[in-house]
Amino acid sequence: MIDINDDILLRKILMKHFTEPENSGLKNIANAIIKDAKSQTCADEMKIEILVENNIFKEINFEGTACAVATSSADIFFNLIKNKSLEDTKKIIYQYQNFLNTGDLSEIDLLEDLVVFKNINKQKNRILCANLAIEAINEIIE
Amino acid sequence: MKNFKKYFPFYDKQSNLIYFDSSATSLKLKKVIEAEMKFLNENGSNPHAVDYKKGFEAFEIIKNARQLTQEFINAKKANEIIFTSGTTHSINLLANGLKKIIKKDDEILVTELEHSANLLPWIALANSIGAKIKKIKLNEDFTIDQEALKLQLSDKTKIVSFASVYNTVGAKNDVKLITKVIKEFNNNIIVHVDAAQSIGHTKNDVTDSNIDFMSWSFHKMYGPFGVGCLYGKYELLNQLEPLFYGGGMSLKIEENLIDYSLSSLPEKLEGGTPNISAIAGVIESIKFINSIGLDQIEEHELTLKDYFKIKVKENNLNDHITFYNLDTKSPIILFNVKGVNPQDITNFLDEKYNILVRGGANCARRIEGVIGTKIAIRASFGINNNKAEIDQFIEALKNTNSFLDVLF
Repeated sequence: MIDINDDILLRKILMKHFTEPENSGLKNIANAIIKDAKSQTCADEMKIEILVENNIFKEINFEGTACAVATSSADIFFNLIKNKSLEDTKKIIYQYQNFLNTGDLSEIDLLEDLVVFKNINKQKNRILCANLAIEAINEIIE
Repeated sequence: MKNFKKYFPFYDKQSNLIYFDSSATSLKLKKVIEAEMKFLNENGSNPHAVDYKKGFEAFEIIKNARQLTQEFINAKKANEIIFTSGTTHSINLLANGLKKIIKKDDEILVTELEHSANLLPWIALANSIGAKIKKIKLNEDFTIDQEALKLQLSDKTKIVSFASVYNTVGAKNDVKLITKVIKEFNNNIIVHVDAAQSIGHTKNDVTDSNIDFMSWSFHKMYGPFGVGCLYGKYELLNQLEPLFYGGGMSLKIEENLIDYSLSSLPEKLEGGTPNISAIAGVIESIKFINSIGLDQIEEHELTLKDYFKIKVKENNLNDHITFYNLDTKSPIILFNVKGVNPQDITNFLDEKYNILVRGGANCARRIEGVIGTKIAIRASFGINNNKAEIDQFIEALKNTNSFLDVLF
């Protein structure tokens, strides 16, 4: 399990997902939902392609321009929920959003690499960044 | 370099903060805040209620502010000054007010560097009547290309609207010369200048430049929020249809509830109770700028920009930072750290260096067509800034590769 006190490791994880996002690039998948995630407060914007089959997230891709926090949180989160059910994703989102707002790490196992955002709760304006893509997925589930 | 910080209570309890966002709004003067508070504490009455002394005092405050504003921009008459809630309101009042004058297929000329307040009202007007918006060509230094403009003008051109200084790249247009080009082609073309970005930094003389309309907000001249101005030449201003109808602007409403007559200017375009406490602050903001002198203010700010330019070169910041407008004559710096999103840098500057700047699109949504990117970081200086703050800024910019430090 990831060592949450290893800041060098956390920083590396975040930078990798920012500079080389694994889910970057839309694939024009048939039957995919296209969702725009656009910040109301800054210029961050993403187009997200989501394929849901039998209530499972089968594929999620994205492209756009966003800051390090928004990009890496989207990429890590998409990795995390791939092949998970809408119901399980809902639980992760609930925990993640609580973690962003309060820094509460009681469900650390559920969040995996998302713990790189452990200090976001101290900078309220960045919560919006860390939540940009996640909120878009939340809207689809609801 | 004079120290102007003492005029701004902002620094009283947070002298470590470096405020570089005067383009979004300037800091507020102690005297402005005190004037607003004084009115609210000691008066608070409606300026339309002139029957009693306090109401008349409020009425006099508006009269005084209007006269000072007239003198500040060198308008010919005080009733050419319309108080609004800000630049956005002013331009909407103008665009809406011209609805009956603009016809289908007429052309409205704007630049791609206008902020939303000087684009959306024109787009909405054009769309509502089938008129067309045309882009004015720009020079390499982002100013309006006067030769190209001559060729763009036609019998269909009805309005030309542009900023005297752009809120992103900070290029300063020669308003007088541009207006001359337009008026020589056809004196009836309406010239509107968006002075939001320049009003607190450089002289805007409406008589000398011969423009027809000008808009701005007082919160960008160390003054109060919630009050702005639409200046217009009397005859043209008088042709505008009001945007708001209400109290204080009507002379008579007939029994048939169809016919009415409106007051004369300026009341005709100022329906409703004005933001009178803010207008009390306006008086102090103009007096302050007059006491320092716009030429002094401009010199102070451009000295800071020149100093910044020298420091950029000395520290080879160009290696990892793209600067878009170091040579424009206004105290705005627009830049991007290569490979890093603006918001990560603005967050870094705030958290690690207490430097307050803006990142993103800065309300000029079409800037992409001019500088090749739609997002950038903007640092804008005011008289409240000094060289020591620029030094700190340079130090921060040297260390932008540590931008992720704010998260760990």
